[in-house]
Amino acid sequence: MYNKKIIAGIVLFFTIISTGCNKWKDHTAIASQDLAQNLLQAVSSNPDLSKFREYVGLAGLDSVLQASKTFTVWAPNNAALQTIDPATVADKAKLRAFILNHISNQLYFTKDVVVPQRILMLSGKYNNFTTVKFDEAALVSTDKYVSNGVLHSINAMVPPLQNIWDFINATSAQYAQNAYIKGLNFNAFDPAQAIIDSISVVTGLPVYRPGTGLVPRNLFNDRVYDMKREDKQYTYFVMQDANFTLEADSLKPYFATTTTTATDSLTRWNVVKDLAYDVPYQTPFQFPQPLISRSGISVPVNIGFVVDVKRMSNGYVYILSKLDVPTKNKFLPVTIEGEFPTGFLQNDKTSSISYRLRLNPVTNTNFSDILISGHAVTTFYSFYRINETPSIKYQVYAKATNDFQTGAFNQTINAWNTSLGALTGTLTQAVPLFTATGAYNEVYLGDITNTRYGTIDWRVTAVTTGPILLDYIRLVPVP
Amino acid sequence: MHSFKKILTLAVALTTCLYGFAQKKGTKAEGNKFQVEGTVSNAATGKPIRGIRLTYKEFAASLTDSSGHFTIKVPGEEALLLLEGDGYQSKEVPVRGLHTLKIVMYEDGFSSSSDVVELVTGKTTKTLSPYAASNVEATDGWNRYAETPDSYLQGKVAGLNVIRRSGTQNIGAALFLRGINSLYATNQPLIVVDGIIFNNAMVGGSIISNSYSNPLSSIDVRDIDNISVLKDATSLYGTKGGNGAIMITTIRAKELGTKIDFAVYGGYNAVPKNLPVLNAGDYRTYLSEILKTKGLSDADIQKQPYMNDDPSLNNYYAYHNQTNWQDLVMKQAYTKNIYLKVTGGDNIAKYAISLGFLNNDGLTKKTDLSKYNMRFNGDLNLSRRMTATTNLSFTLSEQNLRDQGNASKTNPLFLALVKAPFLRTNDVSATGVESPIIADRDTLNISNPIAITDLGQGLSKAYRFAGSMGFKYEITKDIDFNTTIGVVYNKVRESFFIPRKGVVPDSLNTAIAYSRLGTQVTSLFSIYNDTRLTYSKIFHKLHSFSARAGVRYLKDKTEQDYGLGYNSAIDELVSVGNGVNGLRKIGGEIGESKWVSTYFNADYSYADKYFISANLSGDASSRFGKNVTSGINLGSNVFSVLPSVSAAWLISSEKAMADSKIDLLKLRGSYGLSGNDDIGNYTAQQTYVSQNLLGMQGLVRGGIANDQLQWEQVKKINVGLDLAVLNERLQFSLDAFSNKTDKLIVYEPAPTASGFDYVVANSGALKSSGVEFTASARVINKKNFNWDAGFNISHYTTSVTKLPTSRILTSFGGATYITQVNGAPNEFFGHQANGVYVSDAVAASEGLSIRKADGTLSPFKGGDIRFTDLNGDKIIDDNDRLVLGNPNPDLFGSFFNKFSYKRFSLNTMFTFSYGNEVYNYTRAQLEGMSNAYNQTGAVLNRWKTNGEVTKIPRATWGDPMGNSRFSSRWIEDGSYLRLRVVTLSYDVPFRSKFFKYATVYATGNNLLTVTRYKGYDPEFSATESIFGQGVDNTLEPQLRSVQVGFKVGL
Repeated sequence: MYNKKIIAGIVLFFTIISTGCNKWKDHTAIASQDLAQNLLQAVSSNPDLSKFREYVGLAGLDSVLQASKTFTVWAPNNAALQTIDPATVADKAKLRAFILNHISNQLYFTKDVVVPQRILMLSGKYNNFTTVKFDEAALVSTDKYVSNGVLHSINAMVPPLQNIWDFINATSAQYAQNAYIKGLNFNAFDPAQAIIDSISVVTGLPVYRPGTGLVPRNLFNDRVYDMKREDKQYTYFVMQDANFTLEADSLKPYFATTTTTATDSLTRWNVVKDLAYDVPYQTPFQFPQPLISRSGISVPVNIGFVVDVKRMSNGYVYILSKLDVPTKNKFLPVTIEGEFPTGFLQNDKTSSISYRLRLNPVTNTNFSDILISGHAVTTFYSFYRINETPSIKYQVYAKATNDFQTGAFNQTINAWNTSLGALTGTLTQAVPLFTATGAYNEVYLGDITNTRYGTIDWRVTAVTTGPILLDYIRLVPVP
Repeated sequence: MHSFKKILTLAVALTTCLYGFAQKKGTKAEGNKFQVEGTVSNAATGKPIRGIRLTYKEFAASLTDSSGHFTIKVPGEEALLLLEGDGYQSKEVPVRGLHTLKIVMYEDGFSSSSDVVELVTGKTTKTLSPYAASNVEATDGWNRYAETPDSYLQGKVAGLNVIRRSGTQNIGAALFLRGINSLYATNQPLIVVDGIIFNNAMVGGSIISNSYSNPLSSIDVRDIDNISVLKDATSLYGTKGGNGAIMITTIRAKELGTKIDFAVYGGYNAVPKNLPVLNAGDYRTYLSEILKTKGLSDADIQKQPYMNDDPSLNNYYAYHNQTNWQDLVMKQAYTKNIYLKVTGGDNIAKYAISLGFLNNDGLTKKTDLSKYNMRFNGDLNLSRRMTATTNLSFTLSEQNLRDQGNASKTNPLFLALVKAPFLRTNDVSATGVESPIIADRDTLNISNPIAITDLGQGLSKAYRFAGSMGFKYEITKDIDFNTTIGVVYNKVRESFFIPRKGVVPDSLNTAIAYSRLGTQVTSLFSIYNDTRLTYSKIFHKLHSFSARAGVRYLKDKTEQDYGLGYNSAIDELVSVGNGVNGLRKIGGEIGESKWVSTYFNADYSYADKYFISANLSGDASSRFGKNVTSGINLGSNVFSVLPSVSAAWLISSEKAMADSKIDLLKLRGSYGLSGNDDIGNYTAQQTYVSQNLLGMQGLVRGGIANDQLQWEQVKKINVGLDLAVLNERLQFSLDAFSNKTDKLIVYEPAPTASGFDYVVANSGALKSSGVEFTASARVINKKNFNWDAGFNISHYTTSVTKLPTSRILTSFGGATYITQVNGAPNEFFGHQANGVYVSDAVAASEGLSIRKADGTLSPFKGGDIRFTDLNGDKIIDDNDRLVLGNPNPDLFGSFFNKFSYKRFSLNTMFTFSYGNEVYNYTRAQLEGMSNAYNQTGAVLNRWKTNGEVTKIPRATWGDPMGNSRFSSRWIEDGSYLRLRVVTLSYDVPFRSKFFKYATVYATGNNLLTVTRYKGYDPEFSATESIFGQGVDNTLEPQLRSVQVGFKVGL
C-alpha cells in the first residue's frame, strides 16, 4: 500500500517539478519561428531573394543585416535583379550603395504608411514608401517580422539616384548655368569641424590648427536652397545656354558696374537665384502659374519649353529651352521704414530723436515713425542703407505726417551711392503734411535714378536745423 | 491604580477562602486502593524497559523492574498515569478501570499529546489543556541555517502562516496566526519570551529601503527549548492577545551535571537562478524600437552612442559588452557559525549559558551579517520557600545592507535586472582598456548597480539587552506568590550612503539630490512586571483546582531620530554631516505607552477527564480614549472586560473506552474575547505636528482626536478534536475556529470641511474562520529503522463584515487593494486584461478608448491590451476595475518525513502555500515596455503589426494607453511547494572520555521550490501591513543554501 502511494507521490512530485521548470521557458518562448531569425537569415531562407542575398554578401553587408538594431529591408526579388547593371555588381562601393538603398533603420510596416512616407535609407537617400509601392517598385510580399526588423520584397530595383547638387556638378560642362553655380563654391571656416590646438592664455579663446575646419560651401546653396540636402525635395530649372545668356544679358543695364566681369556675374546670379524651388513638382502640370521664387520674384514657366525632366534623389530637374522672366518682374519695390535708420550724420543727438508709435485716425491702425527735432545741426540727416541696389530708376513715394507742430517744414531725400562716392539723386520738397485731410496719405515725391549698382544710403536731410520726420519711403523700380 | 487594587483584594480574598476549604482533606498515598500492574516495553523492539518512573500526581509512584514490570496503587479507577524514563518519551496512560496495563513507549523526542505546552498560566501537557495550543520542541534549531525564531516556525504549526519577509539574513517573517484579525492594527501574534511580553515591532522603520531590524533576531534559535503557540487561549493577555500568542521558553539547565554542547558550522549560499532578461543584442533591438515611439527621429536614434558599431569611434567599447548584471550583483556567499552552550549547577543554583557568533555573507554583493549573542539563564533556590529565576541576554548584530524593494534608483537587484546589458561596470578607454573607476549612470538614466554596492554604504547595528528576574514565594503549600520583572533595552543604529557617482539623482522640493546620506538611531526601553497569586489544590485526589489572580504592567518608551543629508562634496564624504546644510532634514518620533492588565483565571478538572477553565482580564492603557463606551470605568480609567471559557472532555479516559484501540480522543471547545491595542500611542488624543510654511515653522493639528477610540475586540470560538490510535502510531488533530473582530479600526473619511482626510474610529468589523488539521504517523517502527511522517494543513477565509464606507482602496508598489464588505480585506483590485488586439481594425470594431488628461478620448489600437469594459461606457477607466485576486492562501502547511537508520537520520520538511495570488511588480517592470529598462525574453513576442497574434502588447514609450497598468497581466498564482529543510546527520560512534557525543550533519535549506510563479521566489512580505502582502517588489529572494557542521558534547 505504502509503496503505491509513494510511487504515486513521486510521479506527481516530478510532474509538478517538470511543469514548474518550464514556467519561464513557456513564457519567454518565441511565438513565431520568424522571430528566431535575423534579417540575413530571413533573406537567405527566401529562395526568391537569393540574388539579393548574394549581392548583400558581395557588398560585405552581412553584418549589417545581423546587427542588433531594427531595420526595414525592401528586397528586390530575383526577377527584379535580372536587369542589374553589371558595372554596379563589379564595383563594391557602388553595389554597397545600391544595397543600402534598400535598407532603412527602424521598422516600417505597411500599416504605418497609410499616409505615404519618405524614408531615409542607409545609403543616405530617401525613398517613398506607401502601402503598395516602394518608390517605383510594387510590393510583392510585406511585413515579415524577424528578430531585428521587417522584410518586404519588391518587384523592381530601387537604385540610388544622384541628387540635384551632383547633377549640377556633373553637368557643369554641358550647361553654362550649372558652370556658373559651380563657380560660386567657396571654403568657409566651421569651428565645430576645426581641431583646437590650445586655448590662448591671453584671450581665453581657442587656437585652431591651421588648415582645419575649412568646409566647402556654395553661395547658391547658402542663399537659395541647399541642393545637397537629401531630406528635402526641390525643383530645379536649367536653362539651355543660349537662353541663359540671353536672359542674363537682358539684365545688364541694371547691374552697371565698372567691369564687364562683375556685371556678368551679377546678371547671372540674378537669373539663377530664381530657378530653384522647395517643392518637388513631379510633372510640369503641377507648376503653379506663376512660380514665386524664394526672393519673391514671379517666374512664368511655359510648359511648352520643358525639354526634359530628370528625377533626382532629392527632387526634379527641368531642362528648359526657354525661360523669359519679364524684366519688370525681376525688380521688386523696396520700403524703407523711417524708424529703423542705419545711422545719422552724427551720433550725439540721441536725445533729439523720438521713435514714435502713432495712431492713424483714418484707418484706425497704428504706425511707427521717427521724429528728430531740436538737433540744432545744420542739414542733419538720418540714413537708410540698401545693399545690392540695381542701377535703375526709382519712383519715390513717402509718408510723413506732421502731427507735432503747426509750422510747416521741408526736408530733403537723396541717394548717396557709396560705390560712386556721390549723390545719384536728390529730391527736395519732401514736405510732411499737416494734420489735415490727406495727412496720412502717401505722397509721390518724384524720381531718382541710380546709375551704378551697389550700396545706396538713402538720406532724409533736414533743411537747415529743421526737424526730420519719416514714416516710410517706398521705392518703386521702373525698368 | 486604585481600581485594580480592588480587583487584587477581591482575588486574594477568594483564593484564601478556597485555601481554607482545601485544608480539611486527606493527603498522599494513604487510601490508594486500586492496584494496577503491567509491563512497559519498547515500542520498536518489544523489549521490556527497566527504570521507567510511573506517577499519579503526588499521590502514587512506582518504577519498572528489569522485566519491565510494575505495580502501582492509585486512588481510583480513573487515574491518569505519567510515565517517564531516560531516553524515552513522557507518556500519559489512563487506567480506565483496568488492573493490567500493557504499555509501549517510544524514544525521547517522539511527539505526542503528552508533550509539555506552555500556557499563559504555566506549563502543562497538551492532554490536560482545554485549549488549541501547539507545541514545538526546538531541538532541530541546531542544524537550521540562519533562522530567526519567527522564520524557524514556518511549517511547524497548523494555523500559523509564516511568510518570510525576504531572503535577507535576520529579516525574519510576518506571522499570521489564523488569518487576518485587523486592517490597520497589527496582525502579528503576541510574543512572550520566558514570561515577558516581547515587543516585536521595529521602532520607526528603516531608512534603508525594505530593510527590517527584526527584534526576534536577538533570540538565537538554539537558545530556545520550546515554543508554544496559543491560538485561542489568550484572553488572559487582554487587549494584547487578539492575534494569539507565541510563548518562547529559552534554555534552562534540566540536570545538575555540567553539560557542554559545542557546534561549528560552515555553509554556502547558492545564487538564485537569473531571471531571463534580454541579452545585449535583443535589448538594443528593443531599445531602438521603443526610442522611435518616444518621438526620436531615426537620426537621433542613430546618434545614440550605443548604436555606433564602428570600433574605431570613441565609446565603442563602453557600449558593446555582454554584461550579466544579475551575476555581478548577486554573489555566492559563505557562512560561518560557532555556538557554545553550557548547562549545569547544583541544587542551589542552576545555570544555562550560551555564546554564539556568526558571520554570514548576504546575497547582494557587499552585504553581510555579523552577530554576537550571549545568554545567561539561572534558577536559584534562595530558601526553602523561595526560588528565583534570571534571564539575561545580550545580542549585537552588525549588518551591511543595500536598498531593496521600490527603490528604482538604488535597489541593486532591481537595477541589475533593468540595466542595459551592453554597458559595463567600469569606465573604459577608447581602445577598450577598462579603468578601475566605476562607470557613472548611463545615458538611459539608469543607475549603475555596482556603484550602489561598491561605492554606497548601508549599515545597521542593533543591540538588544533583555533581562528579567522572577521570584516565587511559596506562601503555603497551595498558594504561591510570583513576580517577574523584565527590562529590555534595544537600540538600532542605521546609516546609509548613496554615492553621486553612478546613481540617478533624486529630486527634492528645492534641489536635486545627487548623493544621499542618512543616519538613524531608534531605541526601545521597556519595563514589564507580572505579579500573581496562584492557588492550586487537588481535592479527593480527583478534583484538580487552580486559580490565579494577577496584574501586569508594561511601559514602552520608543524613540526614533534620523537625519538625512544630500550632496556631500565628494563621494568620500559619507557621513550625514557632510551634506549641504540647507538640504538637511532632521526628524523623529517619541512614543510612550503604559498598559495595566489585571487578570483572573480558574481551572478545574475532574479525574483528568473533564476540564473547564474560566479567564477574565481587564486592561487599562494610555492608548485608549477617555470616553470609551464599552468596558467598565474604574476611577478615571476605562478597563476592558475580556472573559473566556474553555472546556475539554478526554473521552478516551472514560471507562467505556478501556477496550478500544484508541489511545487518545479528546474534544475541546473554547469561547472568549480578547483585544488588540495596536491603535497608535496618541491616536485618541489631540496632537499637533510641526509644519513648514514658506520657511516659517508652525504647529498644526495632527488629526481629529477620537476620545472614544478603543481596542479592537476579537471574539474567538474554537472547537477541536485530538485523536491517537495504534499505540499513538497515528495521531490526528482537527480544529475549527471562528474569530470575529468588532470595533475594527478604520480610517473613516472625514468631511471636507474638517480639513482632514480621515478620522480614526472603531467602526468596522471582520471575521476569519477556518480549519486546521494535523496528522502524524510512525510509519515504520523497527529497531534500527524508524520512519515518521506527518503533515499539517490549514485553511482560513477572512471577510469584512462592516465598514463605514462602501470600500477602501489602498495602494502599494503599484498595486491597488480593495477592502469591501463580504470580501477579503486585501484583495487586488484592477483591470482585467484579455489579450492583445490583433489589428487596428479589431480594436476599432470594439471601440474602446481611454480618456486622456486633457479630456479627449484616445482609442485603443492594434497591439494594445484588450481590457474588460465593465460598465459598458466604451471608456476604460477606474470604474472598470474588478477584484483580481487575493494574496491570502487557500491552503498552507507543511509535511515532514523523518527517517532514522542506525546512527543516521534524515529529516525533510516541505512547506507549501496554495491559492495565494501575487502581484509581480518586478515582472510588470520587466515586461511593461514603457521605458529603457531591460525586459524579459517574453517581449521578443511584442506586437508589431496588424495580424500578429501574441500575448505581449506593442512597445510604446511612456505607455500612453496604460497597457502595463495594474491588471490581471501581473497577477500570478503564488502557490509553491518547497523543500524547506533537509538534514542528514550521523552520530559518530567513538568512545572517548573527552567527548560525550559527536554528530556531523549536512543541511540543505530551500533546496527545491516548485512554483509557477515567474519571479525569483514566491515567498516575500514587503510590508508589515496587510496592504502590501503579495507584492513582489524585487526583494532579495530566498536562498538555496547548504551547510555542514558538527556538534560535540563535552
